[in-house]
Amino acid sequence: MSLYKLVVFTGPKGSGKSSLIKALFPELGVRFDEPAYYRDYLASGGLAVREVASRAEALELVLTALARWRISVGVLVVDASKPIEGAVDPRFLMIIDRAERRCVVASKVDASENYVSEVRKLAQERGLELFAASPKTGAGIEDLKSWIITGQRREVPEAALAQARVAPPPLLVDLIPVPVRVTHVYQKAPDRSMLTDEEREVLELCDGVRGIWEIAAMTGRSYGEVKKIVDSLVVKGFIATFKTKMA
Amino acid sequence: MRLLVGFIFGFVGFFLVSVEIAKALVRLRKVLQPTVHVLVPQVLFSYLISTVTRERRSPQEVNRELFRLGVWGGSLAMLKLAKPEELARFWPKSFDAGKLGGFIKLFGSAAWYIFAGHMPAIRTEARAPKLVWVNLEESPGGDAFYKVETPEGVSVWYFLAGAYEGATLTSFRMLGEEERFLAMWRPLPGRNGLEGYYALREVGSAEIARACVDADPEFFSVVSWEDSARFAEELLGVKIPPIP
Repeated sequence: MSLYKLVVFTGPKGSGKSSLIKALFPELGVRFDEPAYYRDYLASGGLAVREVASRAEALELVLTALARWRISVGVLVVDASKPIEGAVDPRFLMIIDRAERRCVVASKVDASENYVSEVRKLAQERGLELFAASPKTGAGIEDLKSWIITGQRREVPEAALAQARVAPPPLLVDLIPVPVRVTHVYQKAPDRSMLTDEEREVLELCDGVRGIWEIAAMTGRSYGEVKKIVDSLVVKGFIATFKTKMA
Repeated sequence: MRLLVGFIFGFVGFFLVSVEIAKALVRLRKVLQPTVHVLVPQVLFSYLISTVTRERRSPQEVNRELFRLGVWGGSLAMLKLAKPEELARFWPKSFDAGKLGGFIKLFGSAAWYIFAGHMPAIRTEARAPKLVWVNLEESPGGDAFYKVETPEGVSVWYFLAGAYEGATLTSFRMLGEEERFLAMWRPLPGRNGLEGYYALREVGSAEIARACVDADPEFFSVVSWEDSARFAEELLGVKIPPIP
């Protein structure tokens, strides 16, 4: 019985396997050149991370040794910024089929054009868990990491997709708009009828925990657009104050 | 025995009174100090400058980033500290350079006083039709959070100029004047202070930029018009028209 939980990353060349591993496990000294056959890293928490080369001969060799691999988690990484038809070698699927838990990650979802729908179709056909992630913006990374370690998901892929479509936070500090709470019977609640639809939508998301950038990600707006709406809510008396947190 | 008890009570009483006197003296010392305690904000501000300096390649880029951070901070400060109805009370209903100058002096001084702990000298003048030029010069002597050592070529005044720019643009929003007014701030050349303008948008970006350069040829040398526009849109959602 192995002391380590083996997590295998496979997928076409250039799909973003190394970047994804680095984003998931920043403590690892990840190399970005193609491994000869496969490359192992020992991550914290008893995880052994294995990146499999994408060359045909490497895949052939790996398949011959596969029976001896006790794979806990198999991760197929697919570049979702390009059409996936013909890009997914069946041997990638044979490798992750050996795993107890299997997923496909639509990577590079921050690209202006993406083909996540094709990746979703593949996931449905093969019974794979679907993740959308962007090492560049950090979208979906925590969700995937949580699933790899615990088997539990933190968010649905759509949330990661929405998050990936907005630019990264403009600052390391995010502002949390704290809405006005009516705590006394004699305290008059602000009149919501004076709000525009977009103000109402943003106000619904202001829960005293979410920051402006998170709200921007959830609504598909830019940081500046949400800031403008929040400022307007301040002027109209719906936001009591701001708190700060790391973006 | 009675003497010993009396002595102990006397000693405890004297100790308690001494503590109260010491507390009163501490309060008095705090009241008499010329500025608020600035050591912790100074350390944090130094840390910010060090971090930005390490991340950027040139002093110009550091200054530009400090300006950007200032825009964000100034907007937040304006939202937290000013009430729209207070701003509206002193805001001229129509463009009047004299009344606008009064507004700028009042709120410009108040903002400076809140953060620096001393009053600045503010001068305003109508430099072009529907454009008010502002010079803000700090009074020497007082300590403040921004009075920290910086690397060669890096100036804390870019942070302060950004803060005034963010605060002013936010005040326009709070007043419902965002679509009518523009403002930009930069460090005052050769002195400790800021310079900038309040103008009606209808003046046109080219005309406003010309007035700025006439007043100070280096006005846009580090933080350009486009930089101001980019930061305003990215951080505040304020749209500033480009120079044609």
